[in-house]
Amino acid sequence: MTANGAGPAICVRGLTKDYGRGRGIFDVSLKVGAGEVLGFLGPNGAGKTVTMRHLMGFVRSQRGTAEILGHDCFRERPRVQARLGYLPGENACMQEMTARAFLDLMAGMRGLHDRSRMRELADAFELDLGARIGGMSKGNRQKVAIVAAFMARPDVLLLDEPTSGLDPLMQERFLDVVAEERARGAAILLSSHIFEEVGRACDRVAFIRAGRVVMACSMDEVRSMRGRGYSVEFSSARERSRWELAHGVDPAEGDARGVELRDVRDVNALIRELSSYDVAAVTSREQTIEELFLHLYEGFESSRQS
Amino acid sequence: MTLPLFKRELRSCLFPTAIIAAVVALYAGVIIGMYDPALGESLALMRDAMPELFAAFGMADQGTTLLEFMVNYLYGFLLVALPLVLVAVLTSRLVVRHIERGSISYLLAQPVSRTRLMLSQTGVLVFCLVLLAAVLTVFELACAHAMFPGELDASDLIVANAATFCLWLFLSGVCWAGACALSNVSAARWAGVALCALFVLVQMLSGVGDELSWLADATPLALFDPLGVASGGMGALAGATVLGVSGAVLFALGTIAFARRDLSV
Repeated sequence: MTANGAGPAICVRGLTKDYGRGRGIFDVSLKVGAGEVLGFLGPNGAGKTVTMRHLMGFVRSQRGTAEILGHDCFRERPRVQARLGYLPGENACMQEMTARAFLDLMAGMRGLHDRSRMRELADAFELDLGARIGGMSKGNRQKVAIVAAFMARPDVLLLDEPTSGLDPLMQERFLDVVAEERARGAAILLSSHIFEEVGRACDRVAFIRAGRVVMACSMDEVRSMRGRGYSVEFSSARERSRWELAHGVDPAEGDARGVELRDVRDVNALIRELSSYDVAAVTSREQTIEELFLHLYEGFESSRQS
Repeated sequence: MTLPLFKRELRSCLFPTAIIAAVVALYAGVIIGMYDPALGESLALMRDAMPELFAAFGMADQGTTLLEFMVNYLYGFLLVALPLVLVAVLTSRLVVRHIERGSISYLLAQPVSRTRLMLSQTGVLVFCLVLLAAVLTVFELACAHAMFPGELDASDLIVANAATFCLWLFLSGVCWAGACALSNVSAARWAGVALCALFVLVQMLSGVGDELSWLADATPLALFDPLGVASGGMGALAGATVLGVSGAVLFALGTIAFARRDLSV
């Protein structure tokens, strides 16, 4: 969805910003369409926030382009911002103001007269609009930032670590709001290092590491790759050591009898193998999104090195 | 200019402006109160005893009229240093603090260009300086009228204060350009203020001895001559104009630098 309504709402091509000593982003490309949520996943310092800063027009790229709704993010910033909601990674609302005064200021600068969505969101997140931001907990300050980002019903949302500081109940509400916005047709880029959050909220995911997008795929693809994890409890620590030695692992110290097996694809082979050991119990569970991503990433790294 | 931001920032800047205005008014009242021929003689005695010290603070000559007396004792140092303190505080509040705390990211997330944002912030600073000049002028006129009716020509004082305002504009421009252009927060906060303080110190040094008198022309403060402007001197008028225009140019350069720079917030 460009300014004319065709093409992706967020389009990043070959974006590069080199801060030296390996810091920055290198040849990052992303696309997010209308009504789509792209999870932007990676460890701290991987380049998620730097990419967001380019999309916000805070910094100028050295190479490549960052466009939102067909407008260059740096040169045409006001046109981009008019249709954009932003939730910064570092919460820095003006602390001396009350939540209402701050949100009124943001709405006033935006020329937003309809404050119904602001009240709706404040109610949904149980936010006390009369409280001074400086006296709020981290979670409540995050709620103020969330209301500021969503209150104008923007076409594009950039959310940088959005659930930071929120309790589990409010995290659920936040994910509901994201789902509402997606259903409305907003294009959403959600940066996070929380795998489960991305797994629940997003249609697609891009994994960034050391400033480079190392993997991008749909969540359906991710789910289809999801294996199972098994906890095996042997009858004794000695039996566990025997199993570990057979798998080329140094036996662990202590009396623990259990081992964790991740990403098991061939269950029959596992059962056959365990039949030659004295096993007390076997429990199975679905592989967590985090385990899956780490597994996929490790696979990518080893294929790159070979 | 963006009105909601202008109003909000003005509210946060009025308190420091009121404090400096009160201190400036206090000094103005005290100095005008000292315009007494008898006390003038004792001041002359003090000045004769410590000529270098008085000269350093721009008080070399008592003058013959109330305006000359005021300019000598008030405009040489106090009306330069105190407004500079205000400019430092306001520049920090309006630019540096937003970048330091990261709240600039919320301002930049609104559909307002960086240039418009900075014009709005500039507007707040200039408005506060206009307020300071207005309070000063009204208070000086009221004090002079109450204590020495007919001694002070209102139009001369207004012109002298307009020239002083041009100097404040210049000092503000220096601080503003530094705050907008420098990426290091400490440098952004202090570089302009330090440069202006250096101008004031050099100006003070120039008054303490003949060997250093050449320093008087070495800083932009040499262009500041309120008495010359009040008496209609073309050179003084041109100096004040240069100060005012330079201030505006520095504001513009700072705003341009801010619009182009990277903001890692």
